[in-house]
Amino acid sequence: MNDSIYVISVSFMLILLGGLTFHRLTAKRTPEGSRALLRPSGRLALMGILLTAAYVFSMPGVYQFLEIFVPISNGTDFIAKCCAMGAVAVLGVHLAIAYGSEAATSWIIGKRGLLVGVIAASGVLSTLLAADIPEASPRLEIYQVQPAVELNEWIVLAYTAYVLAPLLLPVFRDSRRNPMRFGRLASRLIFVGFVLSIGRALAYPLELHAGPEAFYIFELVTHVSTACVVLGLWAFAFAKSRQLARKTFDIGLSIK
Amino acid sequence: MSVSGSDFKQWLERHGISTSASELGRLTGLHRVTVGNQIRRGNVPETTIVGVARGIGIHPIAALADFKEYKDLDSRPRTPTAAEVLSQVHHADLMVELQHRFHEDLFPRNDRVKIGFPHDGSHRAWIDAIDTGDVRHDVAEKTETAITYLFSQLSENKLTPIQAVTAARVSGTSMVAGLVVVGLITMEEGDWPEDIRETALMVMKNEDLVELIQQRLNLLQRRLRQRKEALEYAEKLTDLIG
Repeated sequence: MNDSIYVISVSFMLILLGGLTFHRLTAKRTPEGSRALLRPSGRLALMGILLTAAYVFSMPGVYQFLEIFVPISNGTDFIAKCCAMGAVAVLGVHLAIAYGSEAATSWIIGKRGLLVGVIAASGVLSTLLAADIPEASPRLEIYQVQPAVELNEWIVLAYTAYVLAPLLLPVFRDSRRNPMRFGRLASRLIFVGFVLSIGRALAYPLELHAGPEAFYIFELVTHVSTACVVLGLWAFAFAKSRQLARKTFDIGLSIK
Repeated sequence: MSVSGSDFKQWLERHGISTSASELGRLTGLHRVTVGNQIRRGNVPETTIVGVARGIGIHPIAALADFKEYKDLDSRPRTPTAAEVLSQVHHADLMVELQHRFHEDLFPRNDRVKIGFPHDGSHRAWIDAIDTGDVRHDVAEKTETAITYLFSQLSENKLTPIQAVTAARVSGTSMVAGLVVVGLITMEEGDWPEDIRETALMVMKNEDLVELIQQRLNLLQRRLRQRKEALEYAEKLTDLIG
């Protein structure tokens, strides 16, 4: 009993510390050490690491292995979900800065962003503790019928939708107005990914109604959404490395 | 826009030309599959009609006039106005002429206009030359093209033959000239003398030459500014996201 209380209190403390660290890293006045995160490449690297970790931790073999060390049953799922939410938050910050959206920035980072992030992570942990999940199961798949697990899943989806929603308009605007065709394509991919993610969060009641056997079909939506966003980011990186903008918009006068 | 596949087939039959794709491919120089697809989809571009007409020795203007979209093509004199001809002279050539007029020894006049057409902005320059008021809106309305799309077509030198003919139709100028400008028919086929641009340039009044150069430079300045802004935006975003 004492062990459980200790683990739970430490977990909540970690959430708080994690939230404060994210707040500190993304704040406008940051210490020298965290400036790397303000660079686009630093943010992308962190997002990649967190997203990869989230997917790797959910792989059955890795999941089972990590479960040996995690003090809470299915605590690996909580870690994976925190990594995924962290990746989404970093992606949100990255795009909010790139598209110059003040609204999105104020939603994702700052006090509001910190508060929502901490509430979401605490909610995921609380629902995990409230659920009856003795056996290790990646993504809590075999416990999908339990209301606590349903709520746990929905919190992650809702947090994702919360971060991505204010970015929809700037991304959509760029997908129409970007002077470079490749840039428009990249923004469209990101936009489709965002719409799918937000759509899944909004359609969650439908997912519950469909039952646990449809779980992987709805998971596929998330995979497609992630793939779209990653491809969109890759397209921008490709355009940057090949200097497509400079090649497309020739400002020289030569007509040779 | 293009002519319908059935009209094209009827036209071929009227002239005793085989409708087989391989024969048409041989006449036009296009791949037989391409010609076959054009007929099957019911959209035969004007370039194919002109290609067939050249292949069998019919004048391209007479061939196009057999189609309802172009039936009035040869109803006006073919000769272009001086403004139309000058619209097809690049501003670099205009400036060479200006320099020559300043000092004919230091800047001898070229025998020929150096830069051919279409050149950057030549479609827009032609529309400006025949514009009597609202030609862009009239063309957009009559060809059922969105006005913004027409603007981008003009910026990118992508005016279609039917749009060129429609523009000429509403502005009361030669309807053949537009087809020369968009490159569907040659200068010779459009009855443009070989030295028409040089002659038009030489007889141009000084004040008209300076005004034309000024207009072209204004356009060039605007285009450069737009490209610079587009470049800055695209580069900034790719640098920040990529």
